[in-house]
Amino acid sequence: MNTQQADELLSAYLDGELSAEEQSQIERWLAEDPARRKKLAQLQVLRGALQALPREELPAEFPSRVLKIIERNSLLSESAATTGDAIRSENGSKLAASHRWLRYGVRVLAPLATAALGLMFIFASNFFVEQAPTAPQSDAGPSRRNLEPRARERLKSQELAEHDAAPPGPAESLRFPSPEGVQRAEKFSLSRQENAGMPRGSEPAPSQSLEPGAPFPADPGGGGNQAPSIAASRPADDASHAPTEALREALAEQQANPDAVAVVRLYLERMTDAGNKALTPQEGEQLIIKDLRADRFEAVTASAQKSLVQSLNAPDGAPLPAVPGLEDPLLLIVGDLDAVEKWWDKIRTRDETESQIRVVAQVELQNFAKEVDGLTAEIVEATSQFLGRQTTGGNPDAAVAKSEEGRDLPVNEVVLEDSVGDGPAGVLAQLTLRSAGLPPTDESLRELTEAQAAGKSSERLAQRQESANKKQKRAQQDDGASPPPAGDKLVVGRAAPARRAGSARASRQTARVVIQFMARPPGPADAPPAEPASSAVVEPANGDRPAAVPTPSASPEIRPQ
Amino acid sequence: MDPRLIPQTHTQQTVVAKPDQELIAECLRGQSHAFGELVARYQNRLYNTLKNVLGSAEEAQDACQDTFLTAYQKLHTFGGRSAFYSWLFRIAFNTAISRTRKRRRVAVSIDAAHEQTGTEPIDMRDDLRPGQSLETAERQTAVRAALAELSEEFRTVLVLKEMEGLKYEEIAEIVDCPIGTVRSRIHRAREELRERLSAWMAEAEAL
Repeated sequence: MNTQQADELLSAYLDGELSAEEQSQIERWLAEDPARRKKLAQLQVLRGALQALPREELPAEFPSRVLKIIERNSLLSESAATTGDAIRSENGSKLAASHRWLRYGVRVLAPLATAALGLMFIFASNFFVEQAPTAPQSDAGPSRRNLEPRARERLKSQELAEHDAAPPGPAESLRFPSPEGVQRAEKFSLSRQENAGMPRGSEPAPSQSLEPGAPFPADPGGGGNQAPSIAASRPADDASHAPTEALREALAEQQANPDAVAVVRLYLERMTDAGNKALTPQEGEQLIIKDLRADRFEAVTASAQKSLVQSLNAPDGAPLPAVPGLEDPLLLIVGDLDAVEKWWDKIRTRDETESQIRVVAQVELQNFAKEVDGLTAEIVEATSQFLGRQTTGGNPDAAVAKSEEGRDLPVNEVVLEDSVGDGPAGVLAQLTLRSAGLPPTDESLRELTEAQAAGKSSERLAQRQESANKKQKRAQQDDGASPPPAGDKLVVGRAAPARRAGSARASRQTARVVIQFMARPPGPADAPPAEPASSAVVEPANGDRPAAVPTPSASPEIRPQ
Repeated sequence: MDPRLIPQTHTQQTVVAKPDQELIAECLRGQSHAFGELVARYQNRLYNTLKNVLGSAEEAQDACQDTFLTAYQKLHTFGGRSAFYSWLFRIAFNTAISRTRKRRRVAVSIDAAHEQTGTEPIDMRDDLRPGQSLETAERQTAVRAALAELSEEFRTVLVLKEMEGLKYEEIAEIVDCPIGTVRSRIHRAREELRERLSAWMAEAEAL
């Protein structure tokens, strides 16, 4: 054994990594050789010196910083969910996301509930039907205006059944409701009333008028536009109608006939100076996100569904029966409209480039996510209370009064979307910025994703933004390029007042939540995808607003302050 | 789990800490705060080790963050066969290695910049603290500098051995090489370090 090998043994001896035989050999050497003893002593000193190096601690907030980045990255990687299959991933690892999404969801529901905020179901004794040209038309529909409430409800049930039996058509769920669609639908509902007594088959085909409605990204080709659907709107003269009757009935319908109805769509309409706007992918730059094939959504949907369904059923205590093929119909996303407003304004004033906005908006969103951390239980309970009050015929005025002393109007976006059409469901969620003239680019998303993946701190992101901003300005100066055209005059945020027809009073109302019930596809395989069976509109109301809440079409103008 | 791998924290003296596996299960159930607990439990240990491996506090902090982010993403793959920290450190090691490789490229460009501008990069090391004897500080600076001068592969195994107290077998698993190689590298790392610190070693012996 040469010296090198012997020294290596000595080193391993120090570490206690020798065999018994090697160890006794070394110990013999050490006993015989002072030089080896000296060397061993040196190694021990060295070890002591290394171990004596001062240890430092990371900042106490390090864990929360990590969690924050995790959430931000989740948002990024969950970008742009476009297919329900994405949600079906087998990867069980992403369960953590469920918590977040759930929080977001309840974040929306809760303020609606707790503060009550004058939320009202604008539900529908008055249905209007959007029928695909190919859909079989039923017999003459009576004018609901002339019906008693129970008769209206019966009619609604009939319609649910009719739609359940409707022939195949593209998944309604793939069609994101467009504001235009809503408005047209309302117009149509009027026209239908005017045409009371006419056979339904003779009615115009409003689905064509919905063509501009943004197809859901999962189906950009958009066959979904032809899906038969029923939307419901509460006419202004029907303030006394308990909106939750419809909800209750829809749930009862589902319980009685699980294959008929799935609870399912919930989205937020944002009020703008051009009228109410649903958040559609086509209208906006998708902040969160382009490619939502992230497997984590499997758990998310299950959790979100469970939560919401439980909330919906809490008043009656009866569980909503599972719908075969629709195990995971719900998912939601929430954004911070304050941030959206802020950055949209920057888009409009061309102060920031699109990519910078994306980066900062994500940070803002993360801050928002952080804010709501820990609110889940409270919010779920509040939601339950709200729904309980509604379903037990609670007085909307009481809710309004409560809102006066309660919280601000929630300014969140939420989209709950199912994709019943091709099987179990994905619910999609998108936070969108309206950005006409500023279409999202893959490059900007990629840049952002990379920045996030690199774990940049927000400070670094800020630096990056600043740098990019300068670069952009230089570039614009250099080539004299005109800035991108300003987009729509979108107004979002909690402060945007509403100006209502017939009333000069400003309203704090900025958004409303739409809950839609969708019919199950009647059969598997090539059976028609889901069609909306009915919908309810939950609209935050003002304390000073009369109980008779105008529908969006009745309050066309909401202007920024 | 290996008792050595459970950090001794103040909280553990008063509160029975949840086992790692329990926290991991909670994470997988979507309770992100549980992951926060795991981070808090291991962050300083990981950070100090990475600081020694990377030779930079800033790099170590970033690597530490990256490590936890990656660990979160891969948490479902943690089978519990090894200690969580060992698993975590394997991730950290890969993170650190990729960082040191990136840094090498950066270092080259810094040198180039120096040649061009004559500007010295700022030394961000923070070894010298108030209240620390100059002698101790100098010694620590010397040790740290000597450690930093070791090649990456030597430094890593030595840090894992001396600072982490890992067994050769565990080190071999982390750096993905045979145990014999680990033993040899540790020995050579010590030899190099001993030579680099020979002056100070002589002083220490004289005392």
